Amino acid sequence: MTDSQWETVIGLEIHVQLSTKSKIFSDASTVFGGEPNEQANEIDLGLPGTLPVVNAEIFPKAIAFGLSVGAEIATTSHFDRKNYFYPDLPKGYQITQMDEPIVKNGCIDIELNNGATRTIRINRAHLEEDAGKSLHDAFPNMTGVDLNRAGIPLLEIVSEPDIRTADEAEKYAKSIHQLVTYLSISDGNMAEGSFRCDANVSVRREGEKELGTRTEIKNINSFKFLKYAINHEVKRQINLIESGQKVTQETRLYDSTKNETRPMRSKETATDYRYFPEPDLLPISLDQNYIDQIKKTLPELPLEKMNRYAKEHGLEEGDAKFLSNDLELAQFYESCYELNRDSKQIVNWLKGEMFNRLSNVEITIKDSPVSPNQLCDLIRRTSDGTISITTAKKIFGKLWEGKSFSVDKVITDEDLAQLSDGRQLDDLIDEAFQNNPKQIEQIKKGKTKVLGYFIGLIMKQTSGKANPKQLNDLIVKKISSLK
Amino acid sequence: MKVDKETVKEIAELANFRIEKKDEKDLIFGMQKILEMASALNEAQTNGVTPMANPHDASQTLREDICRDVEQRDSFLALAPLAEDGFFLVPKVVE
Amino acid sequence: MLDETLTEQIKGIREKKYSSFELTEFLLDRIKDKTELNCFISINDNILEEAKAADKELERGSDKPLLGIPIAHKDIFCERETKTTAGSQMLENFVAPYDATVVSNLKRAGAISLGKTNMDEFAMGSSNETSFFGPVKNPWDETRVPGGSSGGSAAAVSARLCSAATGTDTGGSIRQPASFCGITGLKPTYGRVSRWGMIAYASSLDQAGPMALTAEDCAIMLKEMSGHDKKDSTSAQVEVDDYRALLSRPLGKLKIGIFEPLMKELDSATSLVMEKTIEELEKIGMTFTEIDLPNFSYAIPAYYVIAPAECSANLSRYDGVRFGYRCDEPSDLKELYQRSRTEGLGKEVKNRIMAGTFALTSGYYDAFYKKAQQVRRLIKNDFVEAFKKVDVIIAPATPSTAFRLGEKAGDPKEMYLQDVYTTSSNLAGLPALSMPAGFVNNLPVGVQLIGNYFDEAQILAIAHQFQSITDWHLTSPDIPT
Repeated sequence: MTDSQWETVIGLEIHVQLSTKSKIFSDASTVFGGEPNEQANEIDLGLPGTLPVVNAEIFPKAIAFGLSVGAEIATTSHFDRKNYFYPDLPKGYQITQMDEPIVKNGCIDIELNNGATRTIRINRAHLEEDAGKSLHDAFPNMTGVDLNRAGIPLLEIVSEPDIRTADEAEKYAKSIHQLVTYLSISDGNMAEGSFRCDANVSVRREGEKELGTRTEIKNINSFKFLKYAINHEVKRQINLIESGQKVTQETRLYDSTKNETRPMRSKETATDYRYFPEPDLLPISLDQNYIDQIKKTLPELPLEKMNRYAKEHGLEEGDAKFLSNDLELAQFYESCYELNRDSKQIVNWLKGEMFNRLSNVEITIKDSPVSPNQLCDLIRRTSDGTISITTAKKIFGKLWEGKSFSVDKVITDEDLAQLSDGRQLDDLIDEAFQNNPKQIEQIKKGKTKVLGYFIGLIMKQTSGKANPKQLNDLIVKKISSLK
Repeated sequence: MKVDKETVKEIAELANFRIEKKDEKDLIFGMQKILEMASALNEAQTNGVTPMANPHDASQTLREDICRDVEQRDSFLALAPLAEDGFFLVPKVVE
Repeated sequence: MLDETLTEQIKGIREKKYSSFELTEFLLDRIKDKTELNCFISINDNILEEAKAADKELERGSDKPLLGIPIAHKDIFCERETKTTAGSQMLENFVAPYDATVVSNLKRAGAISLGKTNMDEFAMGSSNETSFFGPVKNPWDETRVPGGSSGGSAAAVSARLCSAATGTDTGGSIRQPASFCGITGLKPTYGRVSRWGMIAYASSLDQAGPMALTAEDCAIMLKEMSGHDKKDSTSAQVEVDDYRALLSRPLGKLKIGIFEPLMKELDSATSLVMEKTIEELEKIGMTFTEIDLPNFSYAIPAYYVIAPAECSANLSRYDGVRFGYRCDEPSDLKELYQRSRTEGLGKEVKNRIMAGTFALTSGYYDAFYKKAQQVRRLIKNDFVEAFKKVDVIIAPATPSTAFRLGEKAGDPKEMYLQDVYTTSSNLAGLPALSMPAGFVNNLPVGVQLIGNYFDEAQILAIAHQFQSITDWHLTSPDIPT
């Protein structure tokens, strides 16, 4: 906060959708975007007599997360029922983990703007089912309920209130996002609701020991909004206190169009969730060997990747970081590196053409129309002098637009290869020298600027295809022989 | 353990029941009787006893992550008192 | 055909004494004659077709164990394209799009479904008086209750409307009505039979079981009903015995445990029945030993915390949104919830939901719910200790014979005490059966045998051998003794 006499205390609860094919307690599909209620079976709908059965796939994913944040993994845990009524909660209770979460006491380092790092403690991460979705605007006077999301497996990651600014909150959320996508335990797609944040925010005067009354801002689905929502909420709370009022403990919603938070009316009534062990499920026992096995197969994390790129691929730290920050980008890079060891060139292309193109469209590099193979072909053809960088960029554009698929074929079909045949260039130079005796005279007088005149002339003659470097060298050589 | 009107009101709120004046006495009586039976638990010596949620000390078997298409959407929706365009409908909720 | 047991019906059909079609027609007529008992909530309209199909299947040489046998299901088991009401207005028109595993297992064995039997609403009751569809009457005395909650199934078997029926038992709901109606009823070990498709009352206590005239019939039914089910995580991965084959094996000198305080509470006539039963059992080689169950008296209190607590959550899904009863013209969501639930659920169900909700609130959780779960472990431990000394435990099934309709309506506590001998085996998860053992004032009295975990074979064998030297189980209400 700008006002130095106030301290902000923030804790985040992040809901991460674990990527599984079927739901946490039923075998309905988790694919995004189905017709309403098309992916809700009798278990998801909570029909009478139905029972949950646990999807095995959620455990290795939750454990991988836990191990990556140095947490304890509970060898025995169980599910509980959390009771409350809401139309998108079919059974009238959510199956979650209350007193024995699978992951406890971890932490993650975030890098601050000044380059320093801060450790944010993670209190717990537990497994639970998602609720459905309510549509408030589709029907007059009615709310429509779509239960396709009901039963989607979630890992809820709960931080300690260690976060002090909206900026830190954003950095923490981004670090968690990077981690879960790196571990491939979630697609992290925020637009589709695979990664959502709730922020617990309170303020207190500098130096005070007691925490202030907190509010919980629900369901924030972008990093930008997370920052906005917290900043707005902090301002609101300080204003309240400074004007002699009190902050009420409540759940609030962030309205991104108005950039403000407001109380959530549907959650107004005081609730006692009446947690108790889910009697339809038995305790979960995990073998230490199983946990160790997962530890062995953990993928390389961002920091390790960055160091490897710097050390083994000879990349500058900035470039190594650029690549390792994003798993898909790193994977694309590595596919290229398999084909071509010119790491610097690859990075330049990714930072340049690829990055520019991607920032204009809604796809990620995974779905780039230009494949690692194609990019490496381009790099090869520029390195061996077949084409110029300018031509290569043109070809990249054609590949991107799907107008062609083979680099070499474009070069041949459109006759884009550089003229690098020394003899042919020699002939052209000789011809040019013969036709321009005046300029030759000037050269002989030492006016080297005329060099550019000849390069331009031959470039024009060859429609720009002459290999510029080679041409330059040959002309220089010829001129010196004239002297 | 004495159940009073205030308790019944709070609990009915959690359980989502509407209590008509005429039923209030009955409900207090009914609840009271069950809780009276339960109150005998106080005398049991349970220090250090681990609560038991399930009769067997077994652990959960897990299901393979395989998905199956939901083919009965229409018959599910047909069970609903009110459904339209594939949605279950409830009176408008203000968030 | 009247008075034939399941075993006899199986033989009758197999040996072509009569067809499944003829048997079914006979039973349908009998049901019509006995509509005043109110045993059924619905009858399978299609059953004669199914009987014909079964007869054809028999012609083709099928050897399904229950081929063509009409059985009745308690209306708590979901059956595809059939109304499943759980005795509640809430589900008056609910047609499940799936079969309960019990239903599909029995279908697979060849049985055909006669209809769905009446029951206390959501299995909450001991007299069948809480049913939305009206009380069931006891075939032995129509002014009396059949017991509950599986009262419709018990009365149907007792009145010879079917030879076997399914029931469920959460605190005594198979054994108490079996005792009141003079039939044999078995609550298996928790997890023996899948709960998939069986409408939940209290998940950690509910268990489905067979109700029939004889232990042999129960053995046949249990084998077909049992087994691990991938759809029920709490169903046990323990092999299913061939219970019928084990019925007549020599039992040797089995030790039966008696918990003396239970016997002392009985009135003199019931005491006499118990004593005679013990004498008969001694004749077939049983010996009796006293055991101690120090926490037995806490079973009822623990049960009346755990069952209501679990049911308070299990019944939250009845909210008028996706299925079931919905109130007229709700003005907002809250009204939709409150009125649908208040109007659609009966008084006893609401009482239990209220008590259970209370027991789970943060202020009372430790004193009620947690304490009850601790007591539950103590009760289980007592049984585990007892089974180190004895093979089986004998106990009364009910504190009295069938009482009059309305007799206990004023005092729920008296009703709850109906379960005094039965709840402990639900809490511990042990198998227990009630077998007819005599009469008091022309009303049947049952005696309970509690077995060790997954040893249904043993209590069934004892009951079978007891039934081979007694005939209480064959006495029909049409010709009272």
